[in-house]
Amino acid sequence: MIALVNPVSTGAELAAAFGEEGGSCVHVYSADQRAAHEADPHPFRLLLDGPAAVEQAAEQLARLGVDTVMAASEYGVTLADELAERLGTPHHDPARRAARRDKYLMIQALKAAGLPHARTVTVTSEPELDKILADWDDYPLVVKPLDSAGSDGCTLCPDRETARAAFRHVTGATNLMGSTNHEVVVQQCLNGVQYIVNTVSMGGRHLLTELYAERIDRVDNAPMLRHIISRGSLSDPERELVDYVLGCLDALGIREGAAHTEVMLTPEGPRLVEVNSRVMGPSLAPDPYHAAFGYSHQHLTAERVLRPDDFQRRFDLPYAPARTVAKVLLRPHADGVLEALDGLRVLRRMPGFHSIARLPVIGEPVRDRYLTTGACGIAYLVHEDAQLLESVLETLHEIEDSGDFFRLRPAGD
Amino acid sequence: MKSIVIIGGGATAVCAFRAVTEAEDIAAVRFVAPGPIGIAGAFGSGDLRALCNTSVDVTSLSPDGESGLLNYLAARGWPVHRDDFVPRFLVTQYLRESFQRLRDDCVRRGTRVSHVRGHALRVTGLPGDYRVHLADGRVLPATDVLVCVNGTTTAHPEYLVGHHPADRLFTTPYPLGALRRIPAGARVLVAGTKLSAIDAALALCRRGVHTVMTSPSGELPAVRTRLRRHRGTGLAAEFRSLLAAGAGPQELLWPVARRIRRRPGGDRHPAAAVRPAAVDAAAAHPRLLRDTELAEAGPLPWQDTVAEVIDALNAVLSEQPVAVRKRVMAAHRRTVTRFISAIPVTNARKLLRHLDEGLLAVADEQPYRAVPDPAGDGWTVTWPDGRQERYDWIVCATGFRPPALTVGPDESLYIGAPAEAPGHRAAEVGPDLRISRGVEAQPGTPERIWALGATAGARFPIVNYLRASAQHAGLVATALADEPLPSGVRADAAPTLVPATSAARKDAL
Repeated sequence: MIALVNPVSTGAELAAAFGEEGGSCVHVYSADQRAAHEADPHPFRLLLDGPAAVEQAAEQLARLGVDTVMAASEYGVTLADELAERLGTPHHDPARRAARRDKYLMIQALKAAGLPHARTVTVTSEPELDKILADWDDYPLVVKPLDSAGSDGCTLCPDRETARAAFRHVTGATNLMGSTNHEVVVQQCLNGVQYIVNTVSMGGRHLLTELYAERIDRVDNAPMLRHIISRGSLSDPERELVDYVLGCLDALGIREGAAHTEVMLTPEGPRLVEVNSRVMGPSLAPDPYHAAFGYSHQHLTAERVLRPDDFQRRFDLPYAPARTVAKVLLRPHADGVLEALDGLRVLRRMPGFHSIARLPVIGEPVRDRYLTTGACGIAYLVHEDAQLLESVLETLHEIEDSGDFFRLRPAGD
Repeated sequence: MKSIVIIGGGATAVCAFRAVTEAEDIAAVRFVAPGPIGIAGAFGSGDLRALCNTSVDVTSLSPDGESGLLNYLAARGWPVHRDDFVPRFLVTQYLRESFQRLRDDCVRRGTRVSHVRGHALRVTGLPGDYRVHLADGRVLPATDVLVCVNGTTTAHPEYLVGHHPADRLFTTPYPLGALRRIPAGARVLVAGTKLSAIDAALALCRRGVHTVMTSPSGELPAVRTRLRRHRGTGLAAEFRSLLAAGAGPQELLWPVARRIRRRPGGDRHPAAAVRPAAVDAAAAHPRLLRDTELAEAGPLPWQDTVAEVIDALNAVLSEQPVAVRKRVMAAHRRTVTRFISAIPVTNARKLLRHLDEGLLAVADEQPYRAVPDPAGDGWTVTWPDGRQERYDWIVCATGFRPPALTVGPDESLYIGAPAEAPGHRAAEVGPDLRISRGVEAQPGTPERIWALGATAGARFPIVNYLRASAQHAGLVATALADEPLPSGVRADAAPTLVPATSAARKDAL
């Protein structure tokens, strides 16, 4: 029996993969995910509630015969660790638990392991920020919540004043994870190409499942993810980047299951952005990934648990996917109410077009224009020809930016 | 078996590939180009509004038969017509997917196809036994070399010479997406009033950028609703007869005007005059309005003669001595530029709207000086009458020049060497597209190096046109198929990279 902890966001896709593969699962929800628990049609569900909830849940899971506990979203990372430790099932290093969620401690763990990292500090007050900025001469810098996701609250600051304004904007606000920002990270801005390294681990050994390059635009001092595109073969710097990430996973005590790591390949070498010990978000429609790789991140995670011998063989196989897959976070050029999606008929005729997920609703305001939530639609393209796909992506973004993809009217009209 | 090196990776290179791979005795084709084959170059990416200036009908890798682009788009669900001016990115996709399909076909037939990323600097050796030297010192053997290099050097106007690179100066408007750096409300001077300048002006004005286009003439191209291939009416033969009879350049217009008059409405159309009114002195704005209204009113009698005029000029002038070519083109340059490089009526309407809004202006003179601000945040431009104006940005959109083909003192063919390099002389491109180095190492054995597309611009008057490239490719493929390799040449069926010698490296540098 497998316990999937907080299977929301792409955790639902992970749960579906386990279901397809015949895995017997119980879905475990923390109290703050009560609504998801109630909406989940899965027959075996458990909602933690009350002061001794974790202990009681562990007892219940033990009685069910649970032998694997997995975080099924960012919301489940810490709870899954705790439950696995209590149950004595394979789990990550408990000593690094906080570092797997806290971006400052994450960097400190890298520092302790002797791995290169970005200069990072945390502050909780403006005087503290001023003290840090007094000695900071490396602009622009990044200000972001200590504990959030999806580029939420992330601001690129070209000077001290912008950094102060960003701090004031973030502090006290409710973040994408639903908690209040009390502590803010101030970080050296990393320049280069940002990558995603997805892995699945077994017994502390990490398998590279996918490598993606990201296009991130800077809009109004904030990073805006436009697309990710898989890499078919690794260049020498990319090989070094993957090795570095595997070292980061070790430094953070990751031993089991999926991890989704963002890392910048800078002129000085790879530098960690963050490790997420869960499957990739914000959307994991499995088919385009299967069309490119023959598997998806969540299906390999299920394989690791359900067919470990099959999974074991992969450590001896080369990373050489047959096709290239790109995931595009569609971006409206302005705010407004959606009237039509004119660009869709163009996109659907593009070479490599595969599918679209999460299309926004006609007649409703577009939302999360800048965030990595995929709320404005996610397009998938798959093709043997990576260079053609790069050209298609460039064109698609030009169509979005010129205002020909989303037809909008001002809100209130 | 032949082993071919194609220098270049743009549309002309793909045309060449398509044509030569129809031959049966090709062992290997190797591209030398810095970027991916079939992507970027003339068509690049771009949004839905960056349209081709030529119709689908003439946009094809094959000069004959149905338009390859038409069939490609139809197969992908586009409701397309052969007269349409489609977004340029569709041509990029057509070229790239065609290249991949042709490559796969070659591989199935046992022909090796590869792409060496780099810049070719020179070609040495003898017909059938050449060496292509790359900038990084690598050397490729080849029995035949096809030079398909697009224009890459921007033709800067005099007032910008010496100012690039500079802050707030775009040395080319492409990719058009890069112009988004210029904020709405800025004032921009666009150097040029022809096709690339219009691309720039449309991209800028639609975002609210105040734009002034400038060229010595201030002439905008004519306006058309289509560019169709023609059924041959014997124009080339008439041009030949006229030139053989000693006719002057103006007399070449007679048969063109007759053809225009024979078309519906042609007898009344100003372009049917022997001196078309299109080169009158009217200001750009009213002339554009008149051209646009004519195009919108019904069939334009002149536009369906354009494809035949291009073909005839290319066929006939390429046979003529250089003095005749220059004389004819000098006499007709403005007419040719205006009608052959006409713009789609959709773009003309957009230009008119921007002109009406006051967002766009066209100057019929060009600055004599442009000086960047010391702080790097703009330019001060001085006009011939002494007026000074400030611009936030300058976009140079005066077109591209293909790299020069020269023969060095070592009798190598140099591609893109400075024309004034000591001891260099211009290489000749023949009417059969063969590049001559002026030496004949083996009597009776012609060179097997060819210039295609823009590279053949010294011989063929109109080359910035995919159909011309496809025609060139067809000519070269026929020569390749018909001419066996010189005796004694044992072409390497499997060309291998020759390591650069220290001397070659030195030469390359």
